[in-house]
Amino acid sequence: MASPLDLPVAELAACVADPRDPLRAADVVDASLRRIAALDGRLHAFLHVDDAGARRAAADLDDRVARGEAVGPLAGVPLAVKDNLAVAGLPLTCASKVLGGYVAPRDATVIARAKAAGAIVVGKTNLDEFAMGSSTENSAFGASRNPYDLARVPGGSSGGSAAAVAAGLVPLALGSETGGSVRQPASLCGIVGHKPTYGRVSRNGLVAFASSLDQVGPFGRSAEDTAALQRVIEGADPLDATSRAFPDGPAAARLAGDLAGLRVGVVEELEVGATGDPEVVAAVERVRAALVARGATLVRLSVPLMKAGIPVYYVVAPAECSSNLARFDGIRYGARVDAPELDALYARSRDAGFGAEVKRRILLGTFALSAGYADAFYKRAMSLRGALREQMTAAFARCDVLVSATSPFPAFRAGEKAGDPLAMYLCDVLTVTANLAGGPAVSVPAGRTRAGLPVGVQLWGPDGSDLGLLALGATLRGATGLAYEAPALAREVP
Amino acid sequence: MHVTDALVRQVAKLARIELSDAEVAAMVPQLDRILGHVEAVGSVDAGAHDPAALDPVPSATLRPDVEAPSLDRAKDVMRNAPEKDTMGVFFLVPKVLED
Repeated sequence: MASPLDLPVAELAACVADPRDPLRAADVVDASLRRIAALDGRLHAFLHVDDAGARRAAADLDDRVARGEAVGPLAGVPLAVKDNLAVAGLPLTCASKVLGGYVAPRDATVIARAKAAGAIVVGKTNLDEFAMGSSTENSAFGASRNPYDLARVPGGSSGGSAAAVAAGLVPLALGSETGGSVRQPASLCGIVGHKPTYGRVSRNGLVAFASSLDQVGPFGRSAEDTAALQRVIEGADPLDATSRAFPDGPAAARLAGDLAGLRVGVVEELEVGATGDPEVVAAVERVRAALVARGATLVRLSVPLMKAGIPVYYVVAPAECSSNLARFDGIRYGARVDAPELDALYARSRDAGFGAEVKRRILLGTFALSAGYADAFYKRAMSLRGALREQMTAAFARCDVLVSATSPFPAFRAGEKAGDPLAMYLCDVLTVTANLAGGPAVSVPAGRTRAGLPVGVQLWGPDGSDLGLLALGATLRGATGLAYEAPALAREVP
Repeated sequence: MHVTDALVRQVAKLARIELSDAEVAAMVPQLDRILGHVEAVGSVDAGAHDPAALDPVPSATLRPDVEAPSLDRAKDVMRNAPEKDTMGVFFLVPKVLED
């Protein structure tokens, strides 16, 4: 029999929830932990594996099922969690030395909801320190690798979560987005990754990087699996004032409907062109052609301010980061370097605790907010962000969805961009604008390059159309046949 | 915008990060290149827009200000303290007041 881990999530959970079915949550969790033990030495997707806790939670769930209790839609599904989300009793490091030894006192809202739905947290995954990066090489605890080519990066910052799902270690994972940190690794690892509409998912228990951009997002091998996790984690939360409920509107219904008549936006500023990989360009063209063949129409349009996406993002995100990361001062938690007076204790603890990229962004943000420069940088960037949002509203009056590449290129080699911060920032050129504008966007698999590297296509919809977008992802798979394909490494362990 | 050694040191001071001389030297050309790119925010035409649309927390969504249970101090909060007093209820810091 194939591994239960390879079943669609809904089917897996239905088996576990059925007391007459022989498949138990304990078996599923055991299969996940065995794959992690066999493969993660090469991938380094996990920073912490909670064997004992996962087995205990699985046994508890099986007991409840045996007693005839109803369990949730993720019953027995192993879940990997990016290590910037709080899971009660487990380490929470953000892949930073500054949080070494920190144990989370409570569950993030998304974790509490996933657990209540029956998901079993098996461990915490690697990331770029404080989610700042696009390759998962900025981790203080060592880089993660791409399951399709171990010499390459999985993308980032949620690279550990993406690699864990792609390698078949877990069916589902949680990541977080600030400028593309779910979609870009999903694209580079050949899976589905969703950036929800800002406010759709609670940020309570997510370590803040840039609060006006941050959003927790789900990963899965299919759009259906990803939607199953999205439905569980979303909704208003009294512990996050920016969260709210999004009723299913006509935009979502349109995306979930027939492809005939669907207006597919092709935005000039999201075209990869000569700067990107020709195989990525070809993959996007194939997807668009498949949509057109089924009755969709292409609408060519321009969103001029998208050209300023990276500059605006790299003012706004570092500015908010410099403020949010001020809390890491060596007093209440985290690493402390002793000094005879308080200011030196702060400054030395922060120098020793933060890695180079985090310091770079804190300095950039401090500069952008400093006296004499705040008007020219921060206020100006926020003004452009408001204008970009208006241009997006206008764009969605003319089309139902934007279809583009997620990343201009497939997975790059480890170390290739590590010495060039700006080159790393430009990895996010196609994703940051959705964070700045706030809308939902998903990356879905769109085939592989001749070298076998996955390529992703980004679907971006109007605010609140999340579940429609994920439904469109499933329709697209049906239309193109382009789906997740397990890497060779995943077939080593049954 | 030209990033200098002095500017990096000034910003690091504001950010409370004690950079080594080697870190400052590495940071100068990196920040210069990054700022050279993000300076584009000054030369793009934004047109007219409504800044209120950017408010992430419309006041109507705020919950009532009602007292509710918080974290347990001894069990949850002090457990992560780098240094605490012998009773385990206070964070220890260097002396901040003169004798």
